[in-house]
Amino acid sequence: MSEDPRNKDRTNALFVDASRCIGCFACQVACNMEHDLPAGVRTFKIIQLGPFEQGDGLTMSYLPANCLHCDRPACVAACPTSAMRKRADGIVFSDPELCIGCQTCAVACPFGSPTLNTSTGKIAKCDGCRARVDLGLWPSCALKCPTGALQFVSRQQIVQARREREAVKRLQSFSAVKE
Amino acid sequence: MIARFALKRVTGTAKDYEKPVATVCRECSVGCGLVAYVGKDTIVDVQGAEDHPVSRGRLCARGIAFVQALEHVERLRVPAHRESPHAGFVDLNDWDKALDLLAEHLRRSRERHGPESLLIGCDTEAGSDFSFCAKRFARLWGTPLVLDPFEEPIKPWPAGLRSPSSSCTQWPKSRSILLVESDLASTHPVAFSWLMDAQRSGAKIIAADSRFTRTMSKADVGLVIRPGTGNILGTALMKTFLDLDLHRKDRVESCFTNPETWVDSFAEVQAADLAEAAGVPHERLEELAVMIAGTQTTTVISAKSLAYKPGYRIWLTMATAMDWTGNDVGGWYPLDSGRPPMDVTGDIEEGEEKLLSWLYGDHRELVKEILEADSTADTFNVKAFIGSGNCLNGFLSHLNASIPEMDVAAYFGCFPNATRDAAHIIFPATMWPERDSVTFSNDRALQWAERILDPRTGCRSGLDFWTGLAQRFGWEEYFPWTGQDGRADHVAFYDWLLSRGSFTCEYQVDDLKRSGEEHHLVRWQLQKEASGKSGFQGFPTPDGKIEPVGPAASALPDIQPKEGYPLYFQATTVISRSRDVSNWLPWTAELEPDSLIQMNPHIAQSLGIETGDEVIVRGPKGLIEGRAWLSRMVPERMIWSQQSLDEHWVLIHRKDQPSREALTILEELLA
Repeated sequence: MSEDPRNKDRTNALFVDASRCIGCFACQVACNMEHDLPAGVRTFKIIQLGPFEQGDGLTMSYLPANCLHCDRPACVAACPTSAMRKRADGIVFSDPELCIGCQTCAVACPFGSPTLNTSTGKIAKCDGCRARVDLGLWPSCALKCPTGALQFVSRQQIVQARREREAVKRLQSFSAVKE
Repeated sequence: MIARFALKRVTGTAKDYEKPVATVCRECSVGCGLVAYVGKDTIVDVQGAEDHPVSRGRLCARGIAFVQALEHVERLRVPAHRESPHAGFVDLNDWDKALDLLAEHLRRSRERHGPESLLIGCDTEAGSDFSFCAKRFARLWGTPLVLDPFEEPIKPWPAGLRSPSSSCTQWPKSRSILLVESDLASTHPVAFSWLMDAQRSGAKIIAADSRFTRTMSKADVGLVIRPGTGNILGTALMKTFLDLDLHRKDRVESCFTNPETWVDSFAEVQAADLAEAAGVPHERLEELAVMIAGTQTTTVISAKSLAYKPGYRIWLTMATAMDWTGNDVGGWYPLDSGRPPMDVTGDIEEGEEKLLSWLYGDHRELVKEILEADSTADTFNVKAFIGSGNCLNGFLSHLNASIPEMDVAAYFGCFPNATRDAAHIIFPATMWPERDSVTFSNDRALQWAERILDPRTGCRSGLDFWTGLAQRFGWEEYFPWTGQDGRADHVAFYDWLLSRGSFTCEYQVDDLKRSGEEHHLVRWQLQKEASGKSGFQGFPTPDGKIEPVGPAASALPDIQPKEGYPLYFQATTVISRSRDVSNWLPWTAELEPDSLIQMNPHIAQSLGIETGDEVIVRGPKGLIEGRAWLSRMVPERMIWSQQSLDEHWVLIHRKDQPSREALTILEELLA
């Protein structure tokens, strides 16, 4: 499948707003249910950062780390059976019909995203909920995320959300100074 | 003004299903709207109900993983019996036989030891029908020993007081939100999203807890307080408001029964002393008081655990004195206090009202008192026990040692656990997705929660259990909710139940069937006369006033280390678990293993402990084992675990390290 860069503007992407993540694992359990994954297969890695000392207090945050669906995915290049593929809309997925569970993709991926599904012997990895997306639905993790840390939106909306957040932050700090 | 755009969420499922069932999640007390997609008698997918005003289509991990328990191979499906605690269970394959057997045992036990020898433990897992009916059965039986931890926090509310605070959906309108010992992000993630919305709208989030929690990590101000001193912090804050003249004198005058005495009672204490008792620097408390008072509309969210400690009503007192209560925005939001008062025994003429009051106390301590009473005053001689969920591993753990001496112990539950292991008779219970019920949420919402699936063969509800047992004693007229098929009629029961509450009697189940849909919720305590900032006319108590509490109501908790046990032990719930059934949900059970024992890196380093090491936490009477998790989430002198240990003060050491050596190191370090 050829990659058409113009598609990027027309398709949604998973927007990860780590500032809203509370490390609740709802995304992981949603993924377990959607893809019938057994317990222990982590397609989402929720990384707890801290607590670290900051000034007089502590700071702690959570980083939901799932597949980045790279532009030039190392896993796709490494896969010996072409099971790992990238769709025109950017989704990188593993075709279970072709996957032989050799885990070459897991070694190739710089972020450790692909992992072995112990119940099937095949690779488990975020497939962008392609079956749902093809029906026009949001990916399961984004839909269930309790705090809105994950959202499935267009790239323009992501940019706008980022700008909005920054503007609100500045306005709030401005009003705090004024007070 | 910055333009905001609504993100269009597109819901639905890609799975094959036969029908969607709209219901309410009953994993916790938030009351999220849920849509389950059912195919061939199993749930194939679940999603949040998009138009639900509280959950807005969102779910937490527990609200998804519950599906796994329904078909779990370990689930109990057959009533069973055994002659003694050491004998094996024999399947009875028949509920009627099991109920006959229990009735016979109970009858014999009553003849020998009297009616007050029966104790009933109500775990929330069994459903509200189990606990309401247990109280009714106990009244007919003549025992006051019904222990139901879910009920209690409502009682500090003064009689007639309906709504001390607004809904969580109003939090974004608050300008500051104070959370006291409540890790809302872990216990109620969906409700926490409203808190994050409030923060984004400019509200200051202040979290006070003894541990650096998820909630505190998102707060604007984090206050690490001494364990168990939440209510003392409230008293210290109130004293600071009074010292700095930040309270509303007119509100104190008009809403308190004894305003002058109350103000005078604070003259005898120093804010600095109270602040020190709570472990907070006095200057910090003053800064906080000024900040909170400056924001005008404040919501105080208090944990359920504070309800069992002295001085709990300081929060209502403070919210009133500061003019936060009774408005559309702000006020006191006591977590897990959403069940309205229901008189479920008043229509029974036989017997007298004897339910035990165990407010302001530790559940375990109360059970200890009950058990000690039987040897001294011969008041309670507990010889029969009916327990639901895994209460013997929770609030009734002290009862464990007495079970072998009992005439009969019955277990009503879904999975094998400590309570099942102690029982003589087992009654397999339905799980919440198999029960029709009215749910009571933190927001005081009344919702009709339809069952998603029919009960699995062999499993029955709490209403079925008590109705069946009552029939064996000729009390059918007090348990008349039986359908044409001979099984319990839950709609008829909840219609009756709603009629037994002064705040709910205007509703019937039919009225609640659309509660939660189209952004509308039926709430049981609409305080119409008190809503609106200018319209507040005092509390709906007979004289429009409430009795405030002063510093005398608080008492310092046991925060002095015990000799040989220098570290404080705390056990709390984690985000992916609630109740015993969580052990049977593999998706969530593996996320945060209950073997993890959190300790401060500084202490760990001195003891030569690293993350992953096998450690033992030892108290005077018990111990737990697990693997160390080094984290600054706990202060130096604290050990934290999910596993409960009936101790406040402990010693920790590596499994291969003598406890004496660890104690010597810690004593030197902490001296």
